[in-house]
Amino acid sequence: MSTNALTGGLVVDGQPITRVEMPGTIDELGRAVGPDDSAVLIAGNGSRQSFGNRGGPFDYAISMRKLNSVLHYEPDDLTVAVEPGITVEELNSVLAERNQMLPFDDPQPDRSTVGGTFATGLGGPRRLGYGSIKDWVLGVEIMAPDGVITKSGGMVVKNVTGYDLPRLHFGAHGAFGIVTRLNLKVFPQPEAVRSIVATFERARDAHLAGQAVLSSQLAPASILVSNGEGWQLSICCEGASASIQRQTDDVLQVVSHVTQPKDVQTTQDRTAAMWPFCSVAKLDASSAVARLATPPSGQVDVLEQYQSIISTSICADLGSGLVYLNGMPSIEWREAISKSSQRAVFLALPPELKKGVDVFGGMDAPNSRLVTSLKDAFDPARRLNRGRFVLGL
Amino acid sequence: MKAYSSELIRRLESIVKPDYVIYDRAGMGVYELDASDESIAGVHTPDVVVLPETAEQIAAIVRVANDLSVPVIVRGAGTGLAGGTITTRGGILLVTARMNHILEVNETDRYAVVEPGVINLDLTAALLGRGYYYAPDPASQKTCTIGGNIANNSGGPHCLKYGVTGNHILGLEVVLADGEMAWFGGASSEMPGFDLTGVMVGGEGTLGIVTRAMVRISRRPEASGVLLAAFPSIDSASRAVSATIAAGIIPASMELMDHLTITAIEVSAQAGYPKDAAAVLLIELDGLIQTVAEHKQIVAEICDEYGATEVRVAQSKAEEDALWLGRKSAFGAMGRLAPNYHLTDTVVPRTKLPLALERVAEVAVEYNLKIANVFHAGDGNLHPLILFDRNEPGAMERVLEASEVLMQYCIDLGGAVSGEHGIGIEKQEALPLMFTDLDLEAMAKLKRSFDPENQLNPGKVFPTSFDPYQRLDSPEKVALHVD
Ligand SMILES: Cc1cc2nc3c(=O)[nH]c(=O)nc-3n(C[C@H](O)[C@H](O)[C@H](O)COP(=O)(O)OP(=O)(O)OC[C@H]3O[C@@H](n4cnc5c(N)ncnc54)[C@H](O)[C@@H]3O)c2cc1C
Ligand SMILES: Cc1cc2nc3c(=O)[nH]c(=O)nc-3n(C[C@H](O)[C@H](O)[C@H](O)COP(=O)(O)OP(=O)(O)OC[C@H]3O[C@@H](n4cnc5c(N)ncnc54)[C@H](O)[C@@H]3O)c2cc1C
Repeated sequence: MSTNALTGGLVVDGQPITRVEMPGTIDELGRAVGPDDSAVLIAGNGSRQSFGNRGGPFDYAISMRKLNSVLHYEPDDLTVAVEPGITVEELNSVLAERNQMLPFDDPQPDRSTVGGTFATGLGGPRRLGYGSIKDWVLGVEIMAPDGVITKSGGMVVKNVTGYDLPRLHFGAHGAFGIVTRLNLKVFPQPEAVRSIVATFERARDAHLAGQAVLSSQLAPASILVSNGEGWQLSICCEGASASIQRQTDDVLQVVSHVTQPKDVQTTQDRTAAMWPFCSVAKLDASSAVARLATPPSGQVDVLEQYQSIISTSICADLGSGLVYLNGMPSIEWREAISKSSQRAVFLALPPELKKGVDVFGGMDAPNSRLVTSLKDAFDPARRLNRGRFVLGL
Repeated sequence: MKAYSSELIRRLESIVKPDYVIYDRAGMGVYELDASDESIAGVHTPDVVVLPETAEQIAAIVRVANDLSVPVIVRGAGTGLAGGTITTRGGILLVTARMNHILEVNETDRYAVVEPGVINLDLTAALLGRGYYYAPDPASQKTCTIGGNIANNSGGPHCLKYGVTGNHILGLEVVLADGEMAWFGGASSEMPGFDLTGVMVGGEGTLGIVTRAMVRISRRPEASGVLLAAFPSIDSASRAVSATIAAGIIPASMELMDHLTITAIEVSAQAGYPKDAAAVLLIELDGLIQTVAEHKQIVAEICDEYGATEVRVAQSKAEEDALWLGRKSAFGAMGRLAPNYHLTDTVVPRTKLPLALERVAEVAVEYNLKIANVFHAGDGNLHPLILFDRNEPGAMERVLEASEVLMQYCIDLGGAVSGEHGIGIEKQEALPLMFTDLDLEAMAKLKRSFDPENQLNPGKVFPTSFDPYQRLDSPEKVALHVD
């Protein structure tokens, strides 16, 4: 169990933080946040702190890892309420007892907390089939920097009572408050799962085959194109046992109709279909990972361009309109990506390469003004995750 | 006419053609009301009605409004049930009816770009030939606009499986309160930064004006199937709903209609629903051919198990449409039962439906009212239709009291004030049933950040007792427990 990972302190972008509070109750959290104006770094499990701008300096950190209870689970309503420190794996093992799940495609489910996943706003390839965490969140509770807890949303799947504040905190890296509770909608587990991996010589062929599947009525859960030995088209099918074989056969037929692949592997779990994403989007302090917002129609160009310019592992997610790039960290690599016309977000960069860049890619003037006034309203003293959010807020 | 009026009108007429600036009483008459209850909303005449054609015109109008400190209220089709378009404080009513163009359809990237005045069903009709559709389908889809859907985060019968409007909006072009234009989001999921698109959805016209929307379009499923199951009690029908979901099947839609509704439908539309049933469930399944076939069978068995007296399975598209006809004509049919109805849109966790419906029946007796139920059962989204005659003295008061009792009960069961119709003015006083002043203050921070001068649709959403511009200082810097 990784609960102890933080007791020795935390290093964020090369800055050591020796004092790490690990509250086990909301009261303790309130005391840890304290009444003063000190700068606090909020951590889930501290596993993905490589994502974010170079911020600080921080007086201390608070890890949410010990606030990890399932508060309320109503399987027949398909809803669950949790504290933010529960890991993706822990939550899914509770749901699995009732044949339910949350389709996080987390590269490290044993380490990522649900709160951290919500706060980073990262989704995986099965977004195509299930949406992402922002679509599953029914309500949140948030602790403001002055210790006051407020709630928004609720515990029902349809709710328009007041503004949709959960959406403000999604992907906000804790900039507007600390998530203390998440109410989530859950899904029945599919009866059957198949991974289909087809290998092609050319990126273009793999991608066109993927596009054909995307526009078919076969409704796969995810579609990825990545490089390795040739180019792989990786598709995950999930659903009822009654249809899975036919669905798999038809997907292969659609694929071969575009171009005959060199090789096809089919397996009865989702590991193979998720692997390209999990390996490329692996964030740690020594890697460089970028994400480009590129819808499918623009992805082939990106695949070909980046493959030839820089040696990089690439994974295009057709369902989400995103391309992930994982390369050897260097200024040249960073600049090559920043200069591209696609909107790039750096999910991980070594601290020295973060200097002078906004890893979120910046914002235009009206958006910047809005985000700044939101930060002024929700965290006027800039106590939470100082400097780590977009625009260095 | 107010002091600023002549200058206001002159300046508006320099932005849009004078034909599209309306300020005579007769011309403005149709804009005094929307589909909300007149006796709650009251009748309010805007200072002026303007029908712009472009986002740039809207931006210019907002800048004029800023100069003269006049509120701006947006109106789509006016089918909103919460009074969101009512100009309670006067102001410029900005109608999007002329901004009704579908600007782009991109099948490869699965999105469409539309102007806010596009009618919901027109978008789906335009996509039909291509094998795509726009999923959110409010029952008012023949008239309501995409802009109104976004502002109210509207739902519809098929939101059980496919989610509400907010799950289908990728990006928005917005005119902000200061007259600046901004883009939020885009064709890819999860654009850099955070989700201002998601924050705008459900903003009820109080945060910004949507001038263009990039919406997700969905591939038509390969197969669908429609069942109609008749039940001897509303309780058994609602238990069958929970049992279906608990069995791991998520239908595209599960609509429940009670005996009173069936009676009204059969008098007006003759959909062929079983007249003696206490309740019917209309269930639609969709997806892959084999899955739909298997799930139809399982759902029929579940209905049997919960006491269904009859289960009809549509055998053709024509039969499916015939079964849907009843549901679609339900609201219109209520006129056969009473001169007026009041709809209370509220939600409970799905498993609490039997309790909530029992309470609806009790309240009908306690308040001596007839209440019909036709609602999105799969979502736990109740729509008790309280039938009455506005001309009967005291009737309206009884109706509103009954409505509030029901709302409170649903909230006590873990539900919410509104599932899909929004707050507007109709439900603004009910917000404190769910939220404390501190919760409301967090929402007020959002409102003030977007609209520092309270220019956009003022006086909506927040209860009148809570002024979002009166900052609420946190009582003490201590952690407060919220349970
Ligand atoms: C579908 C999916 C896709 C993912 N994609 C990637 C990916 O591409 N690559 C990859 O390696 N990982 C990915 N992840 C993992 C994801 O980055 C982690 O789940 C997340 O960062 C949480 O890690 P953590 O709990 O250790 O949080 P930390 O790394 O400690 O924190 C992450 C951020 O969240 C904030 N935060 C944490 N908890 C809270 C809270 N309770 N309230 C407010 N703010 C908080 C922190 O301040 C920090 O800014 C993905 C996960 C999922 C489910
Ligand atoms: C018979 C009937 C059935 C209905 N069925 C359903 C249903 O099944 N599900 C459901 O959810 N609702 C339903 N409704 C309610 C209503 O149709 C929806 O709320 C709809 O989305 C309103 O759209 P509209 O264009 O009429 O908006 P309007 O009523 O004109 O406006 C609604 C709100 O949106 C704001 N607004 C409008 N356009 C913009 C814009 N461009 N930018 C910013 N704000 C804007 C307005 O200011 C107002 O606050 C029904 C209504 C009727 C009368």
